[in-house]
Amino acid sequence: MLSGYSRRLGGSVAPVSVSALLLYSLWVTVLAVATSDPWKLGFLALVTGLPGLVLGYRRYGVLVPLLGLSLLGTFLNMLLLYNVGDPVFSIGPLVVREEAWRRTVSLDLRILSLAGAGLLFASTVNPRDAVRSLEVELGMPRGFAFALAFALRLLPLVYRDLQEVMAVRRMRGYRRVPITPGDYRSLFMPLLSVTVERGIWVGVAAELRGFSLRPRRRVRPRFRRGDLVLLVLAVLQGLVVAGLAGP
Amino acid sequence: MASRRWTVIDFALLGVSGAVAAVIFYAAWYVWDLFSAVGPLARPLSVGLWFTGSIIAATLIKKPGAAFLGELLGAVIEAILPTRGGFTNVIYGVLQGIFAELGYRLLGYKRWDIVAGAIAGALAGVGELLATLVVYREIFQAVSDVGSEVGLASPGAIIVYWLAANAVSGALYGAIAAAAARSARG
Repeated sequence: MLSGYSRRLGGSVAPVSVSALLLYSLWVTVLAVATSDPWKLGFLALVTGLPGLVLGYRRYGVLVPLLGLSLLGTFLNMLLLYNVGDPVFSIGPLVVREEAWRRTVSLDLRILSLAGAGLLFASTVNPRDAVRSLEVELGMPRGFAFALAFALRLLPLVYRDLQEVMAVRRMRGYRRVPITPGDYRSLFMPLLSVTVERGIWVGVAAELRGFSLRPRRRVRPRFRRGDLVLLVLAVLQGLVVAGLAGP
Repeated sequence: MASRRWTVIDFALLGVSGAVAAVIFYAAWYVWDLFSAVGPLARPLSVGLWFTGSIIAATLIKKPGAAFLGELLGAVIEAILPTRGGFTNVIYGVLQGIFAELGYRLLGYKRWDIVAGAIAGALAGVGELLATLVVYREIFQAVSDVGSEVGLASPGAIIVYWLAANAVSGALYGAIAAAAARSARG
């Protein structure tokens, strides 16, 4: 997936403005957190979660099976902790009861909505456009915007370094998949050493050349025609969650 | 005492911590997913990985605000990458960052060593619990309509377990992150 991120450094493909898509994704996230009603969460999952997952699957295929594993994990945890109340259905000798089922449905639909909203944004927007939009349209502080932009540029390099470190770990007989704290220590140390050196010298070079974090001119977000669709969907989902319309 | 004013180098180091934290956070989802099917055991083994962004940034930069910004930056990148947490990562990042920052604040912004990393990591676990109480509240809600009958654990017991697991995991990975950042910075 991180290699997929590198490919996204090209041009943006979003037919809607970045700011509108970001605000839409944040709005759906807030709505999904605000409600516990399975029908309302189901509506959010249908309108935003599903398209987000479809778009995300095209770019980040591995995320969807992992999401399935997570949904299964939620079910097993709820079964372990709250399997009480009237029976709902049974799987062989295992009787799934009302509390475990109700909580699983609510949690899983929320997870689908949240993941879908995030994927909708991430799979259609170029990260550089996202940073620019956050800084010049939505007013993110310039120091933080610089750090964010620098981190996004570093990410492919960190990923490459990580692969190198993993290869060396394998050659030295370490576990292939890091699990224990000791495994992570053997990953963090070399990864941080290389990246910190890089970061310090970029910072020193910037200071020596007199770069300062100059304020950037704020620009008003430019809305595109596709933004109207997002606005309608956002209002519709808001009305449903508020109980003024829908299921 | 060194100036508390942030320089371009500090922001570059914040970017470094953000990039490394994002990779760690991203890997943490795999560990989480691998263990989530096992049950609550997943928590102490993996959750502390999500608190390392604040510790790395604070240990590298050694200035007030670094822990909060480091955690927030890692969380923002985690949302952009993306991971399946979507934009809730930012909610978690804000709360975990505030509590990790509180750890360094309690130490008067004078200690940036492994102990400070462990304390900040353990406190970040409180932020994680608060975020989870809001975002995934169904895990903690009492069983209201079936009387005193509950599953294997009551919501209160789950909260205590959650907090303890967060604190242990946060302290452990916080200490590791601080040690790694100190050795990297020299």
